[in-house]
Amino acid sequence: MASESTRREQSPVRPGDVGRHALLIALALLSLFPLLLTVSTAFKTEQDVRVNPFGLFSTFSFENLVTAWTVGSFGDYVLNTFILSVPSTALVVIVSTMAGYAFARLPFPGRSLAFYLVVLGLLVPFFTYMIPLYFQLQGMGLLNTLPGVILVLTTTGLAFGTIFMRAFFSELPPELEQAARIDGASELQIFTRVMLPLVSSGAGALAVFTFLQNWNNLLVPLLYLPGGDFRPLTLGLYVFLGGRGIDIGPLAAGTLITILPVIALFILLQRQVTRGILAGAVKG
Amino acid sequence: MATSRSGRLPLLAAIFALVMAGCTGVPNAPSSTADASAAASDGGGEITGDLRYLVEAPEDPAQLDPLRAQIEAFEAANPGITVELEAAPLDTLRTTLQPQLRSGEGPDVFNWGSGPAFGGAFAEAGLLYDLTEAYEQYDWPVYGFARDQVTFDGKVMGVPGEMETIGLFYNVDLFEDLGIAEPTTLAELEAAAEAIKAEDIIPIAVHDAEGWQGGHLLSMALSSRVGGAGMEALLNGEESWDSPEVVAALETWRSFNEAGYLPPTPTAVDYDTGNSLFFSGEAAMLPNGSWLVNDIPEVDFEVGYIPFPAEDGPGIFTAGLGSGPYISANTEHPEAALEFVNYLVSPDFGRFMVEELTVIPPFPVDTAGTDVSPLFTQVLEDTSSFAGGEGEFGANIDVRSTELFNEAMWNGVQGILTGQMTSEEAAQAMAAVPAE
Amino acid sequence: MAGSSEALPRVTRRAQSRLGIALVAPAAILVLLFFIVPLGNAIYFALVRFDGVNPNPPFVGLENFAQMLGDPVVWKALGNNAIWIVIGTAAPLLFGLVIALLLWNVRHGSLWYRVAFFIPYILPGVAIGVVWGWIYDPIRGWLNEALRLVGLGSVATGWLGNPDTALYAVIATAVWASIGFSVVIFLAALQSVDADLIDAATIDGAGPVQRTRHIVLPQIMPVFLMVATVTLIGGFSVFDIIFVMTGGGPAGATEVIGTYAYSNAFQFNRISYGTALALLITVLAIPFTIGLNRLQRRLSLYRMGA
Repeated sequence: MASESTRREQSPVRPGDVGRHALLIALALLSLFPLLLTVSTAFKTEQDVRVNPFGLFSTFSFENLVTAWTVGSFGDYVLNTFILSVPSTALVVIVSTMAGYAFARLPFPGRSLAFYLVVLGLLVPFFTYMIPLYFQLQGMGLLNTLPGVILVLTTTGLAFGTIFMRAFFSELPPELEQAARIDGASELQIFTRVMLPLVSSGAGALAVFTFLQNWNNLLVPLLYLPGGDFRPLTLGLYVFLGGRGIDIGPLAAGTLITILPVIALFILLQRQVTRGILAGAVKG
Repeated sequence: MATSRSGRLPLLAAIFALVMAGCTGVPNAPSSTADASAAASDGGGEITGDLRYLVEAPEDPAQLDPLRAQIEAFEAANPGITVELEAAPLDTLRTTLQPQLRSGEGPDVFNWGSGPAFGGAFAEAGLLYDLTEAYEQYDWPVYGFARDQVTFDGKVMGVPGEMETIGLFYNVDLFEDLGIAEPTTLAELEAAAEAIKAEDIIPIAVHDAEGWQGGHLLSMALSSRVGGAGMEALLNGEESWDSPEVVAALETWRSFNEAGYLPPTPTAVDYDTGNSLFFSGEAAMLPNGSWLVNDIPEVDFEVGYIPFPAEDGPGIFTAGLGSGPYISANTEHPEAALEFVNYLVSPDFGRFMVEELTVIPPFPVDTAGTDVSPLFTQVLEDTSSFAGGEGEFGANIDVRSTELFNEAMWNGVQGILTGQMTSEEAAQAMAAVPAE
Repeated sequence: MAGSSEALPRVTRRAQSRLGIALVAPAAILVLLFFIVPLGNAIYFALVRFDGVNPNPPFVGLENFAQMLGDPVVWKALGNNAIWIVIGTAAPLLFGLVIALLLWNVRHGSLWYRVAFFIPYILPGVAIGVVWGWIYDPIRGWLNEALRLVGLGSVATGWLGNPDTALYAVIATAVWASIGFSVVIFLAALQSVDADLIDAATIDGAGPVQRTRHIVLPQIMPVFLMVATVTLIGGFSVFDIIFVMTGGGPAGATEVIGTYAYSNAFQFNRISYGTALALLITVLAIPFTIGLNRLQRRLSLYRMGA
């Protein structure tokens, strides 16, 4: 307790607590305003949207949500988003954990070359190779297919995932594996029984972080799912936006459907998300 | 608005998409090639085949239902043929349809835009089935001018899309209240705009946030200025795009903007907002196309539709074609595909287009007894006189030009509306695009 | 680790090596197939004239790159990228630092403030574009309404349709979305700032600004540079938000290399030109990334040494 109060003293900016909170609340509201606008518009009546589209919380109705969910196919989009995000997230976590362990603790020929190739993925923006990848997928028969998009999504997450998991494995003390080895464990057993359980919190953070990335991805489905099957929320919203005859109400409802799971996940698993982001920033 | 449109059809949606997307390629109704399974049993008279028909995806998938019902009627009448209807968004069709067709995995029949930027590009790449013989054999009654738009190198490669006109919608009641007559010259239009502006109402709800509207703005002002023949000369390359007439047509919009006849920053006003400004009574006129007719919501005023005026007269409507069916060169069931296209050109299907889709087929349809709005009746009459070659019509530029040209045109109009370019510079940018 | 493995028996090392290869294999195959190969193809595409159709495109050498030099849109786009990089990097750093300092050691509601500031960062770009489109709406948008309310109605404009404001309006949106990122990172870094130094400075009579500048900032400098690197690199490859909000318009006023590459490749069928443009931006970005990284590492080492 004592240390807490002394630490508080250290803050270099001390406009007084009331003033500070007032300022923070104002800034937080500014930060959340677009969100409020979305919620407010999504719950307006159709009539109110037409007359007063952006007035805050002037009426209340579920009709926009119903329209977006049924007529706007956002119900399907939610399902599709899960169909795309869940397998690719699982693959990123599994494949990165395997590779991260190997890069951290197992000497093998070609290790540094392989590692550089993986790390290169953090340096090169996706749009550098998105165009040739389109034609490549087409040639492989993977364009417009679920496996194609899932594999691409997985690969875009691997560079970060591998480095992230490698850091966790590197921190584990070498005594652990030595002890296991003396107990007669095989190398595979050391990985699966001894090491793996110790990085589960890291894998969890990676899973949450990757899931958010995949959920939010627009370009990959936009480019590689041209046929309109398995269209996820982001793409659905983009297409919805592109259709010029669309009312603002259902558009707001669609936006809300797209962001609500993201926000819910974030609030529930804040620690993991923040941890992923922090590590993601340090990645360079 | 969206809801009123639902239940209409994919063709319409395709038009919209075409329009929206800058009229580059509106794929509406393609079919796809073939799972060749049923092809074999063809020996006798009956034509068989499983066809894939690809159209542009409407916003609301339910809009495909009426078309699906038509296809079922066709299948019932042709027991050997099945047609699988597919839909894909316009933007993805633009990038993927051509590679698909080339790979042989594409549809058997597909809807795609008429004109050189669309069907012409595909024909050049050898992706289209030659319909020249089929036209003679089946005697398809497609209007000659429309057939010209799908004729490349002397061969007829497809069926043209539905007909559309572009002009000015106006609030008849508001005009009457203000004592303004329907403008029949450019000067009258300006006077009307001045009077409306004085009432604190936006005279002309120009919307150009998306950019493609610029092609329509130029098309209508230019068509009325140079006439149908003048438009043909420009589109055929006999006249240059930096001619004084083109500059003058651009200048018309620039000066309207400067005079405050358009909404503030028209390049920030999107299609929807432009329409709602008009429907809500906040704007008195709206530049748009005949497709809007079936999209007009319940409004408490009468809506009129006139051509953009010329300097010395009422001007002419701008006319263009949407997208219509083509057959893939790679189809494994050309006979079945021809039967299907034959159905898409039949009087029954034509009446379906008029009644259900509220669009105008590129071939004569007996509209007696159809239940359509008076405004649509006017549009029907306008376009059929166009089709019959009686009236004079201008041309919608973007459906007749290449994508690069369209890009220059759309940028040009946005440029003059934002002061980034002069009318001369915009015209020169269009003239500088290499003809392809 | 390397040291400890040296001491292992050869059998163990062989087993490790086998397992290592097996564990890396899936990642290596995916990276090779869906990253390295297309990246190599990108270089090939940039050296030929590929229209997406002809399977044997003609080799044109550096023609695509030469064409860029004479393309005014490229220069305009590069300029916009530069503006984006400067403002889009500086503004989140500045606002993020201020907010993090305000939040530093706040006792009540700190968690909720962080959530509030961080949420924009995790939202999908499309959704952000939709909502900010309403805020910037020329007719009924909130920004114009707010301006009129405070008597600045004359400033109201169609923010995304006016070439003088469009780019800055999109940048403002991007800044709004990325502030949360720097707040969270700065907050984490502030936890490790040496308290004694600050106490000493306070006793010496240093004010809040002085303390921030001379004591806090130097201590979090490596993190500061890291955030700068991340946002700066993002500025080179910015795409989504412009694509959604303006598509590069009006009349190219918000065009950046990313959007221009996209429209060349997927709208005009100039696939090689589009690919070459995308490569250009990568080549421009890499020296910055490496340089900033070095600087950051040197600062961290320096601090550790001290």
